[in-house]
Amino acid sequence: MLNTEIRSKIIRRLNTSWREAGVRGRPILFFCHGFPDSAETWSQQMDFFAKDFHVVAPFVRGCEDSELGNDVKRYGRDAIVLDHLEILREISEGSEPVICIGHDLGVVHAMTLARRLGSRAVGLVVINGLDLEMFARRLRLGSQVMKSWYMGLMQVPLLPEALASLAPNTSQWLVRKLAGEDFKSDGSSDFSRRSLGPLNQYRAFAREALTTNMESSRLKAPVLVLWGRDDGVLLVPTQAEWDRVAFQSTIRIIPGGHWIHRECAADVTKFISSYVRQVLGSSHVDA
Amino acid sequence: MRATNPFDHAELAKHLNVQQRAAWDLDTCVNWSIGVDTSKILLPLDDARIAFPGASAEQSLALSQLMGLIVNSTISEMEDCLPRLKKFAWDQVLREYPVGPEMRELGEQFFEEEAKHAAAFKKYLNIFCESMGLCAEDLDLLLPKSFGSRFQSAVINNAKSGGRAFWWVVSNVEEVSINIYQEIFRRRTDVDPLFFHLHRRHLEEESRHANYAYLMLELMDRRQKGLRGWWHRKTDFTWAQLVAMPWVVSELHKFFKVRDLKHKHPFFDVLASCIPLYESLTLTERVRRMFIAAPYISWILNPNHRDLHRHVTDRDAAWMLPFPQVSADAQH
Repeated sequence: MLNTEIRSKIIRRLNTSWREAGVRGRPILFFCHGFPDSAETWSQQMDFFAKDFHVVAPFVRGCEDSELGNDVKRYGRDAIVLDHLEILREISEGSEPVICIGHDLGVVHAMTLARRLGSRAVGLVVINGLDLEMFARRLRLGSQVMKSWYMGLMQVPLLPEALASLAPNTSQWLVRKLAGEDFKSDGSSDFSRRSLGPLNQYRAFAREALTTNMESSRLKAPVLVLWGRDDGVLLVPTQAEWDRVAFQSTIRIIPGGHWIHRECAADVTKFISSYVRQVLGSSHVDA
Repeated sequence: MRATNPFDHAELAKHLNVQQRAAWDLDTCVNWSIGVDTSKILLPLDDARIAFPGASAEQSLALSQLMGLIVNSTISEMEDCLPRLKKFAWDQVLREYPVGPEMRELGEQFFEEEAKHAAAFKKYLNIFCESMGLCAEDLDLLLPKSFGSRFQSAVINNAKSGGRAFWWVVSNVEEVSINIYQEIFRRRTDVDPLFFHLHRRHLEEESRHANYAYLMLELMDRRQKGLRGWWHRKTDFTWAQLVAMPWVVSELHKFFKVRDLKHKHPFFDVLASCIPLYESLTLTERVRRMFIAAPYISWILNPNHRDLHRHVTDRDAAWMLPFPQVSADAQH
């Protein structure tokens, strides 16, 4: 059971919502979900960390009460990071340390936020996801392209929308199977709603990945990478890939698929907890 | 073997903790001051005295001592060359197929312990020479030296192509060194106490980290997909045997250099007097002893002597050269 409240605010003319819990003034854990997903994906981690920290998980555009953007650019990482910075301004004093946590496409937003926050971002946790430049580099690998064939499908106007509306169960099954997760229907209407709204986020991601100059600054904050070994849509990363984007990264490969934070929630929460305590130090944790 | 799943982080952490807590110190944990008892054997020999049937008591003692030093040197040389292969066979593998910090730390611990063992065996050799009044440089001529560059380049090239031959060689040495200790333990009252004590210390750490090579093999087996993975799974075991075997055989052949040393020390005189015993063997018998019957040597040359190896190669359906079968009694 998720003991969090849903809050919302008009940000740059669009209603934007997020889940929030924990203690104000404490270090912030900022959770970014992927696609097709919602902030509920973090329920187990938010429940656990809300006892000691301030936890927040925004809904992407088109999900829950976060309004759809009027064009694809509004889903791009530069637009979304502005939303995230505004949420942070709304919920905090502006000095609390932030640890960004992302899964899937949420990793792009978590990393962009960490870069924008500078020294305020003390850590980054990545779960089965890549930064835009990393993904763009991977498009040179035949094996990754084979795994990402569905991204082409997503770019066709109206086709994915039609599939998700007309055959929500089949679409959900396909997505879960592709990602290597055991299929358990969690409500077709919910899936249809969750997947249709943020589709443009996917389109924005693909367009940005194809046009990026593949250069990004290296993160100074230590990075913890947790990765499901049997992920069906993303190849397991190499250390060299993370060395290009972060000065210090620790990779942990866990038996599981694309959604390890749900499949093996206890293990993932334990690893994040140990990492959070390490990067924040005892002063923040015991306060 | 304990931890066998490289992705079981909790088990690896426990394993690491045990290894770090129980690690021994080269200078303080071995009682070097007791020196070498030169009247005692180092390695127990079989009835045919390895390949010198009919050797007298004096000859048997000298052969046992030389065999003990050869085994020490072989382990020491093999362990000494590990750091040189570390980058390609370990670091690059873990960078390409990362697992977690514990797997890396266990590896660091493994290489650290191996370097310590190599230093310990070298130290023993020096004390042995002092006790016997032997010139270390003379004795060196008979002992295995620097794991040949051909071997190293073959293993490095295999590792560069994504192969695992290095870890097959390591697992071979680990398993045989444990078997050697069991043999020493059975005759421990006849064995030089310092030699026994040193091998006991060696065994403690070998048995704790013996499974690291298998963890690496398991990791590469699970992560290497496609044709390249299939090829290495099938051929690397044989490749490891093919590159290690010539080295072992050529280094053993150094024994015959004792002819040039026989007037330098009575120890060499006695050893040189054993050569006719070897020459009395037929070629078939020499080969049989090398691959089937002679303890220590056949254990390292013939994979059919190694239970753990056979178990893993059977599981992976790795291709093996047709080595002669050994009887159940001869197996370890």
